[in-house]
Amino acid sequence: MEKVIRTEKLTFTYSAEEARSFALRKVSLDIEKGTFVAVLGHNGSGKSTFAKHLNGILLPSEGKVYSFGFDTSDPENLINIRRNVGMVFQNPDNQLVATVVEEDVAFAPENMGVPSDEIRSRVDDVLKTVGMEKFKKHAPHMLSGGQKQRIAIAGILAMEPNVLVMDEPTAMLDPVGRKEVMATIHRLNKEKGITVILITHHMDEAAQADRIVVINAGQVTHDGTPREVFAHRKELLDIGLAVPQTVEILDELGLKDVALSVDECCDILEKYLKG
Amino acid sequence: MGEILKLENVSYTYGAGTPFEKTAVKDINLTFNSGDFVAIIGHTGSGKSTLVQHFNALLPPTSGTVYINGEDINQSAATRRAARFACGLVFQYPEYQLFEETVFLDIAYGPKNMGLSEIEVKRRVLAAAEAVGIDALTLEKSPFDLSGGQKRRVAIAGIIAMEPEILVLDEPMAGLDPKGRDEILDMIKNYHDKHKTTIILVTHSMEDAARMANRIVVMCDSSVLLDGTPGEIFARHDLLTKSGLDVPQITSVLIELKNRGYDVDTSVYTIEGAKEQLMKLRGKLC
Repeated sequence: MEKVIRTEKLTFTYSAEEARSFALRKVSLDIEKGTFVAVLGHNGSGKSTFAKHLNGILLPSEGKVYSFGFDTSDPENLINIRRNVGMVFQNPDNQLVATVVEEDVAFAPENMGVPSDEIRSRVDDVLKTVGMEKFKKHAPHMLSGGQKQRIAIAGILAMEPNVLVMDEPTAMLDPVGRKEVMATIHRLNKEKGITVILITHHMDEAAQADRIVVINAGQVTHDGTPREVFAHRKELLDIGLAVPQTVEILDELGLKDVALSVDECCDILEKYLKG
Repeated sequence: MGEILKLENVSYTYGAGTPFEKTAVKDINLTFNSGDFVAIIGHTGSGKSTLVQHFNALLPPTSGTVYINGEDINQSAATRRAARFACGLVFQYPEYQLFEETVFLDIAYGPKNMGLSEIEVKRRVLAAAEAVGIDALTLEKSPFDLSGGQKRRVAIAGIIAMEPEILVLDEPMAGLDPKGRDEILDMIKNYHDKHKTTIILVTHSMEDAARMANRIVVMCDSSVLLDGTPGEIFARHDLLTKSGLDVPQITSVLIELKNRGYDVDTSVYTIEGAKEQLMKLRGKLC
């Protein structure tokens, strides 16, 4: 598999004077093309700092980050990296720039010098992808949080990136908005083959990923499939994280299985109830 | 327990007479008793934030009346002012409202405006700081040097220092990780246990509402959809899901087991409750 992101002993400290306060410490990770990776960690764990290294918003204090083989520390590479690695942040209100939805989505391709008929087709296309084509003439600030966040995602998609890095894109949304956005992200991953790196502290969102990376105190503590990672309930609790309730109830009942969905949990509970 | 806050036929319309006219709350009748811990829950746009802004006269109802301790709070500037002190409102992301040079001065802002003596202001600041777990050293720091979680606690302390009879918190856990969320929730719970202040917590997390409150009010499309104890509310999971709210995952598990023909109580919303129930059922079946 092609590695789209590679970090080698990535170390980062926010202030040079306090050289010992590492935000990230020797993080070495490979992320393969087309995977859906969830990065878990509590506030202050370094997970957002990690995300900002993937397209060169932050540069390593030590170590290297390669996005599509391009070294992020070389300024000449930044244009190529940012076209390939799009970022979506927590608050959609901070990411929308125009007063009309379709103009907002067109902002990045316009800046990239994409020809105007190509921009038109890209904008229509990505709005359909995120299920917002009916709102193209609307004002972004009149939309709900989930709708706004989908517009922000469309704006990134219009650049046709290969990797989407999302830093808690659902943190400010209600359950309906969260479901809309998560369904959109999964569809992009499955249908368009876009690699997704989702920074989150929602365990149910992480449970749906192909791979979970747990970061604590700037270091990777767990890395594996959701099933592998959630088997370490106690360790996760110790670093301020929880496991999905489907995992918790089985553990409480002394069962060894890890269930990632309600259905799976019920299958296991049925066996338990029958003795 | 006496009645402390009462809403009678309260409606509020934004932008009346313009093309953007929107009725955000419609004909609300609610009574809160002294010492209650109530969670108000609803999806985005359901009207819950508009509703709580009526509790201390920040918004005057388009029609209807709001009473605190039996008195209409929108009669005059004086009654509105009194309502602001009787009912403290902590907004979403309150840390953005910090502005003073030190944490102490920031917490002191509210009580100072109440016209209290310097000694009384100091007493209240120290008590509020203690309630939210801010130590003496931190009081001398600039609020902008604190971590996000600490800033939020300072902002809450600023309201607590006014010693309101009713404390309303709008999404105090938004954007915090599970640990930060637990810290804030524990802090609110301890404060309630100790002071018996009436607490109204606005949230869209069913888990948090269930854990904290003895009563849940569910808002949907500008009206009150459900009002009852957590058990009563979760028994209506069909209505909740339809109105865009989630039931706790563990409740979904029990509902699915019931669908599969097992005799389980689907109004349970905690892991402990589910565990106890499943162990008992196993004992019966085996």
